[in-house]
Amino acid sequence: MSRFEPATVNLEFDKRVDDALQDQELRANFRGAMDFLMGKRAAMFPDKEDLEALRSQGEAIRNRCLNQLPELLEQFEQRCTENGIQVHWAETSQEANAIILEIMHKHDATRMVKGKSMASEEIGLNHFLADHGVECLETDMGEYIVQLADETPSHIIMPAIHKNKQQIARLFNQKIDGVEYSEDVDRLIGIGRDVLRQKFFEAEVGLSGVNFAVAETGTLCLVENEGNGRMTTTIPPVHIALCGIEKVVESLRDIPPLLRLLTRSATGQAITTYFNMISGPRKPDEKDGPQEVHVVLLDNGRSRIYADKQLQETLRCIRCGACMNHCPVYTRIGGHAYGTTYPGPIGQVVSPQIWGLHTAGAITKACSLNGACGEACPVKIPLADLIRRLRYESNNNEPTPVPAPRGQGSLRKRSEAVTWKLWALLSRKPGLYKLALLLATRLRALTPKHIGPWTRYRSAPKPAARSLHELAAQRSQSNASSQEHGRHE
Amino acid sequence: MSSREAILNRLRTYRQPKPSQPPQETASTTASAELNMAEKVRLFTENLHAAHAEVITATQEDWTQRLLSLWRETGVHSVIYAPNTPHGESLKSAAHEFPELQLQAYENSIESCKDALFNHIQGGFGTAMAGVAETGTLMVNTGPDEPRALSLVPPTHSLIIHAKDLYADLPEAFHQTQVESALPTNLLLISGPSKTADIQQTLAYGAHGPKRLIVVLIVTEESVRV
Amino acid sequence: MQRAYPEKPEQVYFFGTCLIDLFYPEAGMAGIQLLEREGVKVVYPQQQSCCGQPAYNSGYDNEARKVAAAQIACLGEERPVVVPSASCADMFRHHYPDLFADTPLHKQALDLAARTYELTEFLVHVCKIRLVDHGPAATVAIHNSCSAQRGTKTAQDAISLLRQMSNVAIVLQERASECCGFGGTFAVKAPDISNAMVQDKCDNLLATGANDLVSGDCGCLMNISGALEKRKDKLPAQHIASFIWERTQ
Repeated sequence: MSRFEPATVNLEFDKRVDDALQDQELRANFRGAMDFLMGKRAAMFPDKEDLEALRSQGEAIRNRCLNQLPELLEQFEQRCTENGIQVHWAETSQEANAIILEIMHKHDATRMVKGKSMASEEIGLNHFLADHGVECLETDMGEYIVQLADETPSHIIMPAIHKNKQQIARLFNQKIDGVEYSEDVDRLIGIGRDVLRQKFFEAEVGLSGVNFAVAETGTLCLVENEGNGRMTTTIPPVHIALCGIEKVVESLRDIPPLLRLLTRSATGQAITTYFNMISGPRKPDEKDGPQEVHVVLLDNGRSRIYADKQLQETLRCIRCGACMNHCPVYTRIGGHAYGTTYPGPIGQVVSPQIWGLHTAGAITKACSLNGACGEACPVKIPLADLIRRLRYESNNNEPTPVPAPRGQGSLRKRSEAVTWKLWALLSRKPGLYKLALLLATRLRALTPKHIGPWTRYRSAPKPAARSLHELAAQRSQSNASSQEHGRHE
Repeated sequence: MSSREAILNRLRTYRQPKPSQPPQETASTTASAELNMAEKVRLFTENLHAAHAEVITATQEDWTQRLLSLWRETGVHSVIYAPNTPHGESLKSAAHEFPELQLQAYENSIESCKDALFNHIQGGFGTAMAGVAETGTLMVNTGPDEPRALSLVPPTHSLIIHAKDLYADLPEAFHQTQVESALPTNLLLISGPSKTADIQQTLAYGAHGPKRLIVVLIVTEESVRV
Repeated sequence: MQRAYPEKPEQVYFFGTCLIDLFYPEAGMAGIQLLEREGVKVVYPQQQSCCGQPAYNSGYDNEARKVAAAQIACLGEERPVVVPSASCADMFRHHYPDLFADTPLHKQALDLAARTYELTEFLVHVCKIRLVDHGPAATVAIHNSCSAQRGTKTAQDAISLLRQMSNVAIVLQERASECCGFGGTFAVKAPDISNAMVQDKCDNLLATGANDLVSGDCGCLMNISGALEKRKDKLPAQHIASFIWERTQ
C-alpha cells in the first residue's frame, strides 16, 4: 500500500485480508514480532493487582481530562501563547494540511523532517506536501524504511514491523546510493543515521506528533528512543507539532502514571530513552532550539466521537499499540490489511469514526470479540464492546439523539436484516422454536454437508437425535412419575 | 464561526455530566518509594547499566580526572561543553593536563557551530538537575547554560549528577524539584544512549542521538553508606 | 474482585443454550445430572431458546433484545440460573444490562445478571462439588473460551474441576489463552481469518499429545473439532460436563 486512500478501505478489505493471509513471510514476521512484544509487556507487569490498579488510574486520569476537555484546550492554548508557542485549530484534515503548508510558505521552506506522527499519517500530510513541492522526510527508522519502500506504517508504534531484516537489507541496497547488501542491523541503522543526519542538518522545518499536551503549563510531551524526535524539534529553525485535541491532560502530575503505562504497554520498557518536554521556542539568551514553535490542534472527527457517551471511551487512547500486539486477528493479517492509518482493534474503532462507517465500517467484521485487546489496554478501553457498537451503527437506520458516527446504517444489508428478523421470530416463539428443533433433529440425516463458509474449513455439525428440550422434558416427567410412584408405595 | 469556536462549541454541547463520585486515582505506590540514598545509588546505576549507559561513580575531587581519562582511553578528543557552570569550569581547568583534548565552549548560537557539532565534535558534556532511581533517568534542564544540542548531536554524551539529587521515582522527582513552577523551554528525561529496535526487534544503539551515554555520579561518603 | 457466592440453593434454572440444545444435548444432560447429584433440583423452562448473542454480536440489537426479553420472561423466578457456556452466561451477566439500559426491563435484566452462573463456576463455588474419578488414565487438553477467561472469568473453575480428577493429567497448549477463531458469526463473516486462527489452535492442541480435548463452551468445540475433522486429525472433543459426568458415575 503506497499511500493511504480512505475510499478503498471498505472496498478492498476482503482482498487485502486474502493477500495477507496468503503471504507466509508476512505472517511469520508478525507472529514473531507480536510474541516478542507480548512477552516484553508481560515481563513489565509481573503483579496482576498492581497492573489493575495502574490501569484504573490511567482510565480515571484520562476520563477526568476528557470531561473537562474544552476548558483544558483553552487553558492549553493560553499557556502556550504565553510561552511563545503559536496555536492553530483545524477542524478537518484539509484544514490542518493547509495550516502546515502556509507555515512552510511563510518561511519559503521546502525541506521538512518529520518525527513519528500517526496524526500526520491520518491527514495524509506527506503526499499533500509533496504535491505542493515540499520534501517531507520521515526520520523515525521504521518510518524511514516504510517511506523508502513507498508504503505506509503497518503498526502505530513499530511502523516497519511487517518487514524482516533481509527485506530491509534488500530495500537499502536498492534504494540508497552506494549501499551494499548487508543484514547486519547495526550497519543498517548506521546507514540510516548517516543519511538522516544530513537531512536534520539541512531541514528548515521539523514536524512532530504529540504524546501528551499539558494544559497547566503549555507543554508538549514526546516519547521516543531514537532521538529523531528531539532532532526534529531541536535543530530546524521551525517546529510544528500536530496534536489531536484529545491528547490534552490537566497537569504535570498526570504525566508519570500515563508515561509509565504507555512505555510498559507499548514496548515493555520501564521508560524510553527520551522524554522530551517542550514549553516554548528558543529564548533570546538560549543558544539552540527552534525560533518558532507551532502547535496544530486537530479535530478531524474527534469532537463528534466525544458526543457519544460510549464511543467517547475511544478518546482515552494513548496510542501504545498493545491492543494490536495482543489481537489474534492483527497477528494474522498484519496492519496493511486494514487499509487505514490505524490498524488493529483501536483502528477498527477509530477509523470508522473518523472516515465514516460507509468508508471504513467494514473492517469491524474482522474481530471475534475475544477481548484480548481490552484486557491489554492500559486505559481500559472496552474495545470489543466498541467494535460491536459500531457494527450496530453500521446496520442501524433509526435516528439517534446525539450525532451518530457518519455513515450510520450504510452497511445494512436487506437480506441480512431479514435473516435476523426471522431468527428473532423463531427464537422468541417457543412453539416455533421447538418445531424447528423437532425438524432439525428428525431430519438430521438430511443435514447439508456444505453450509456456506463454515464448511470451507470445517466439517458440518450434525444435529443430535433428540434435542435438550426433549431430553430435559423426558427426564422431568420420569422424575415426577418415580416420585409419584414412591408416594403410592 | 472559526474552527476554534466550532470545535469548542461541539465539545461543550455534548460533554458528559461529571460523575457524581469521581473514581480514585491512586495506584499502588512503587516499591522504590522509600529508598535510602545508598539504595537509590545502586538502583540508578543498575538501571543505567541495563540501558547500555556507562557510569563513573566518583567524588567531587576525582571526577574530572576519571572522566578525562575515560575520554582519552576511548578516543573522545573533541568535546563541547556548557561554560558558566561550576562543572564546566572544573572540567576546563582540569583539561590543561590533557593537551590532546580539544575542549570547546558552547558560547554562541547553534547557527555558528552547526557544522562542527554535526561533523567534527565527538562529545558533549553537561549537567543533570536530578535523577530517577527506578528507571535510571536523568532530568536535564536545558537553557542558556545547558544548550539542547549538547545532549543530542555529538556521538558521546557525558552528564554529571550528584547522588543527593537522586529521587526514588518520577512523581517524587517532579514533586521535589517543583519542576512545574519553572519549566525550561525544553525539559529532558534521558535514560540511556539513543537506540532503536525498528529492524526486526533487534536492538541497535546510536540511532540518531548519542551512541554512548557516560554518567558521572558524584557520591559522598554519606551517599554510599547503607 | 471475587464474586460473592450464595449457599447451595434447593432449585436452579438450567439455561441449556441453543448450540447444546441442537448439537450437544448430552452435555446439557450431563450438566443437569451433575447438579441433581449435588442435591439441587433443576428446572428447565421449555420456553427458553437462545440468549440472543448471535444477533447482538452482529450488531442487530433490536432482534437480540426481543429474543433476550423472551429469556428474561421464562427465567423470572428468584432462583439461580446455571448456564453450561461462559459465552451465553456472559451475555446474561454483562450484556443484558447494556442491552436493556433505558428500557422497562432494565431492572429485570440486572436481576438476571446477578443470579446467573456459568456451570463450572456454580459446581465449584456454590455446590463445592467433590469428584471421584472412575475413568481410565487420560491426558487432557483444555481450551478455555475467551468468555470464560475475560467475561465470566471462570476459566480457573474448569481447571479446578479437572484437577479433582485423579486419573486425568492436564496439558497446556502453546498460546492457550488465544482465541480459537469461533466468535459466532465471525467464523462465517470473516471465514479465512477464522480459519487461520483455528488451524493454529488445532496445531497447538495436537502438539500436546493429549487424548482428549475438553472445553466449557460448545461454540469453540464445534469450531475446533469441525476443523480437526476436516483435517482428518483425531482428537475427541467433549464438553467438560459430559467428560466429568461420564467419569464420575
